[in-house]
Amino acid sequence: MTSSAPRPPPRALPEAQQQALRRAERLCWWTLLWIALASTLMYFSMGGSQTMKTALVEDLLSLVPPIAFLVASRFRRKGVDEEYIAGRERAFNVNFLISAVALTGVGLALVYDGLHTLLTATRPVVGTITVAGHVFWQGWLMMAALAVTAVPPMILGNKKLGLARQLSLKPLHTDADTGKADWMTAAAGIVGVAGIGMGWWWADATAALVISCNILHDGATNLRGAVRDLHDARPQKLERDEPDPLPERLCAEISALPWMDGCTVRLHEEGLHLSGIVLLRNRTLTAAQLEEVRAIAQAVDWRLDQIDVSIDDRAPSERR
Amino acid sequence: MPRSPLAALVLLLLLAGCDHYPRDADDMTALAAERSMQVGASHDPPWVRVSADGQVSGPEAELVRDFARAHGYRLRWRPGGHDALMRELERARLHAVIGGHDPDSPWQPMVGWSRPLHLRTDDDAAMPERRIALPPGQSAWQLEVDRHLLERERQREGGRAR
Repeated sequence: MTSSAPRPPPRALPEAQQQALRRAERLCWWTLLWIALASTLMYFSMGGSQTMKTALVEDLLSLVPPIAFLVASRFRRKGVDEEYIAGRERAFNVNFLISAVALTGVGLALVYDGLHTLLTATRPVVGTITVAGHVFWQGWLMMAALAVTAVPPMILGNKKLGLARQLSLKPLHTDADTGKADWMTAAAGIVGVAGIGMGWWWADATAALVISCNILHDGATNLRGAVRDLHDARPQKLERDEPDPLPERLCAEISALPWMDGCTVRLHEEGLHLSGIVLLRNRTLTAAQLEEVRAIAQAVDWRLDQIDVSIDDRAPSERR
Repeated sequence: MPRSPLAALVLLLLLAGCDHYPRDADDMTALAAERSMQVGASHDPPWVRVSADGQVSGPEAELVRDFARAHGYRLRWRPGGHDALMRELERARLHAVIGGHDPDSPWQPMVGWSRPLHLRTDDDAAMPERRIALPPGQSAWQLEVDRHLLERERQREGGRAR
C-alpha cells in the first residue's frame, strides 16, 4: 500500500460550473418526483392501449438516468482516497454508460410492444368513464393524461440540455435525451389513441414504432459515446458528432513556447474533466519548463485536469 | 420539436368536431344494425341459463334483449363454452359475451368490459359486480352499451324514488 501514490485531488470546478452541477442535481430530484407522479397518473388512466402501457414501462426506465446521475455526483465528491487512488472522476463515465443503456432499453421496449401489437393484430381496449352522469369514451381521459405528462419532461429536458452544455457533461445530455423520449412517446400516444378512436386499431402501435426508431437512434449514439469514453478514446464534443477542439488548442498554446521543439497530446475524458499526457519533442526538460507547460494547461480551460508532461522519445517514423 | 404536440392538438380539435367519433375498429355497431347482434352466452345460473335446446334466459339475457330491442337490433344467441366464446369475442366476431366471467380470468385484460350491470336476482338479494364482456377496439359499440346501461340505471332509480 505504501508504494501507491494517490493522484492529487481533481481540480476544483469554477464557481459557475459548481452552481450548474448543483442545479443539475436539483433538476434530477424534480425529474424523479415528476416521473413518480406521472407514472401514478398513467397507471390510473390507463386502458389497454399499448402506448399507454409502454409509456409506463418507459417512465420506469427513465428513472434510471436521474438516479444514476445523483449517485454518480455524490460518489464523485468523495474524491481520492486509499482505495480510489486515481480519484472518482470517472463516476460520470459510468453514469453515462448506465443512462445510455436505459435509453436504449426504452427504445427496445417500444419496438417490442409495437411489433407485438401489430403482429398479433391485438385490438386495444379503450373503455368508458362516467363523469357527472354522462358516459364518455376513455380515450379522451387518456389523451388528456398523455398531454399533461408531455409538458414537464419537455421543460426539464430543455433545462438539462442547457446545463449539460455549460458543464460539457454527457450523462446529463443522455438524461435530457431520455426526457425527449418521454414527451415524444406521450405525443405519439395522443396520436395513437386518437387513431384508435378513428377505428384504426394499429394506429397506437404504429405511432409508438415511429417514435421508437428515433429513441433507439439516440440510445445507440449515447451507447457508442459511453463505450468510447470508457476506452479513453479521442475526446468528442457534447453532441458527439465532432472531435473536441480542446486538445488541439492545448497543443497550439504549448507549441507557442519559445523553447518548444514540438508537441503532441493524448487526452481522454474523465467525467467533467479532460486528462492525459503532453509529449514534447525536446531532448531534455527542466523542472521550470515542466511547470511552464502545466501552467499553460491550467490556464487554457477549466476542463483540463491532470496533465502529465513527458518527452516524446519515439523515432519520428513512429509518430503519427 | 414543438411541432408534434401542436399537430396532435390540431388533430384533437378536428376530432372533437366529428359526429362519428370514436368509431369501431371492426364496424361492430354497423354490423349489429345491418345484420344482427351476435351474443355469446355460457350457462351461469342464476344470471344466465342456457337450456338443452339452446334457449337463453336469466336477468342478464333479459338485459341484452332489452338493449337489442331499444336499438332495433336482431338478436342472435350463440350458446357455448366460455373460452371458445371469449376467443371469438377477442377477434371481434361476437358483439358481447355473458355468463361465466371470473374476476381473475386471464381474459380480463384482452377484451373490453361494460359498466357494472347493477342486477339482482330478486329484490333483497346481494348485488355482485357483474359486467358484460365486449369486443376490444370497438369504441363506438362500447359507448352505446354503456350509455344504455347508465340510462337503465337512471330509470330504475327514478322508479324506486317514486
